[in-house]
Amino acid sequence: MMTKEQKNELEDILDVLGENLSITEAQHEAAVRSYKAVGNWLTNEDSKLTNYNPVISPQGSFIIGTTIQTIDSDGDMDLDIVCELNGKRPEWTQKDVKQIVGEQLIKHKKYESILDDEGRRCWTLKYRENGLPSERYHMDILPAINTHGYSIILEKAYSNLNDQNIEGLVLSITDNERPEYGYSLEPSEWFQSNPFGYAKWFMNIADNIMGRRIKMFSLNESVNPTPKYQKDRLPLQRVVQLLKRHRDIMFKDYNEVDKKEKPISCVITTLAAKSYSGEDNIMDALVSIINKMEDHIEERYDNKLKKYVKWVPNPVNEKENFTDRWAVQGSKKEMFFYDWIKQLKIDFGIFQSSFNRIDLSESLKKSFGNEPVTKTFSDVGNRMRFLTESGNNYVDHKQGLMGVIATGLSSTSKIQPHNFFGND
Amino acid sequence: MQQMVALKRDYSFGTTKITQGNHLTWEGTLKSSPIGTDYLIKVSYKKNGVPQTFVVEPKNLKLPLGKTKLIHVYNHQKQRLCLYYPKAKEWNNTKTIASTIIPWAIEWLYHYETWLITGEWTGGGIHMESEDKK
Repeated sequence: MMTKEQKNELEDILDVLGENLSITEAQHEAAVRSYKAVGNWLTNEDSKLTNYNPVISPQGSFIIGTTIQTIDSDGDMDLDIVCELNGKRPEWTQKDVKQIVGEQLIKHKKYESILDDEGRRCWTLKYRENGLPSERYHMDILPAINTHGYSIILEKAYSNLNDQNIEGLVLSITDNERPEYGYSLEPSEWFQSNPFGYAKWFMNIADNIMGRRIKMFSLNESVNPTPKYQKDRLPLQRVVQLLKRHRDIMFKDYNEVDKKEKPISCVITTLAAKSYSGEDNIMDALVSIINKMEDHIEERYDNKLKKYVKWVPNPVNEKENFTDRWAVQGSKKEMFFYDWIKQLKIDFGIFQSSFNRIDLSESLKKSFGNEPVTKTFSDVGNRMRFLTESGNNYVDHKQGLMGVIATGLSSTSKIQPHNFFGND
Repeated sequence: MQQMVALKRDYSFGTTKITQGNHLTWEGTLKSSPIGTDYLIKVSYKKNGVPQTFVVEPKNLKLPLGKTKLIHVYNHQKQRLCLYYPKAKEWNNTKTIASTIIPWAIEWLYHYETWLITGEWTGGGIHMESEDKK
């Protein structure tokens, strides 16, 4: 059983680690600049889209605060954005909407040069600013039409996403694998997606800590057209970051084909949120989520396949199965998912035994990679030095260095500023 | 003796002894931090001298990969710690060992562990080498 002081110290390390895995403020600013520029180009007066006031806003991990750095030196960070149109010409099909967005992108010299092959639902721009690994990302642009004829983000949700019904946030999107792709003119027949409803669902769980609403990370701020960088994260957001990073490290040495079958972020994020019960610290949340995630995988009978298949429903659209590809013949996705859960239980078994800082650092390096863990311990150490230099650091006589504490405890003393000296 | 009283008040779990009338020693187990490791530490002080602080156990403290010597020590073999800058009079005999030397030793242990983990000394301080070059 850990003491309160041990838990506090561990929490601090895990929080700083999460911060080191996160998108940096500079990356955030660069991403916002890029998608605003795309937005301006798509709303350009010469654009066929201009009458439908396209609104560009981020979605996915960027707005729920769970984005992480890539581990490959030549890997890309993901930035998912929605290009939301307020209506369309009556004769436009999904294909037309998709192509008009694509054509407008191609008209721009730079976008033409970084536009990737057409995706199933998105257009992808591959950014390679200055060749720096930290400035490589790909922007998935999802063309969508709001079903209600007014912009979800600018007019509705931007005021306060938490006051909106999840159903009111539904968007109709294009999907070139669907039969009606080339002919349906009625957006309500298209695939219904709800990225903002999902974000609302997730944040609603994340900011409910032991029954209290904690306003630490604002969803309204993150869907703001020019969102400010938010540094602090809630325990569930940190756990999702740690889980995603653990997955990336675990599968990094798998061959290129198998690597593509690793657990996908939306399954991890959904199962983590379903398994979270409001723990107020990262360690407790992580341990309980690891133990409960697989319980939230359902089995449902598939009429086409005539067998039971694993089912992780989209929480804002019960009919959508996030694990639909697990049932594909020859897929290793299901096996890899359970392998990953098994590995998580082994790697975080450390929290159930007694451990010290050195053991912890070794275990964290194995799970999350050398670089962010080393930086984390340096950051925490440097912060301790600043505290001593500013006369705000304490030791507990028996438990050691504490950092800032509630004063007045007889077992603690303030550290007097000093300089370590030495030969070497 | 004031030094002894303060040590017995705050660090009674260690052994405080006076020998030859003016030689004070404190020996006890200090922890670097709540999830840190235990170390057996000895502080030796003769009246009007300077306190000397040693890591008694473990002997041969581990070193980070690629390093051959401890840093911020007076003596690598004896594991005698450099806890303050003498010229700046951060310690003088009006101060108690309990309120300065021992908290500094705890801090040294903490930054030593960070140094083991990261290869970087985060405790700050002054190197004698750079002092010589001034």
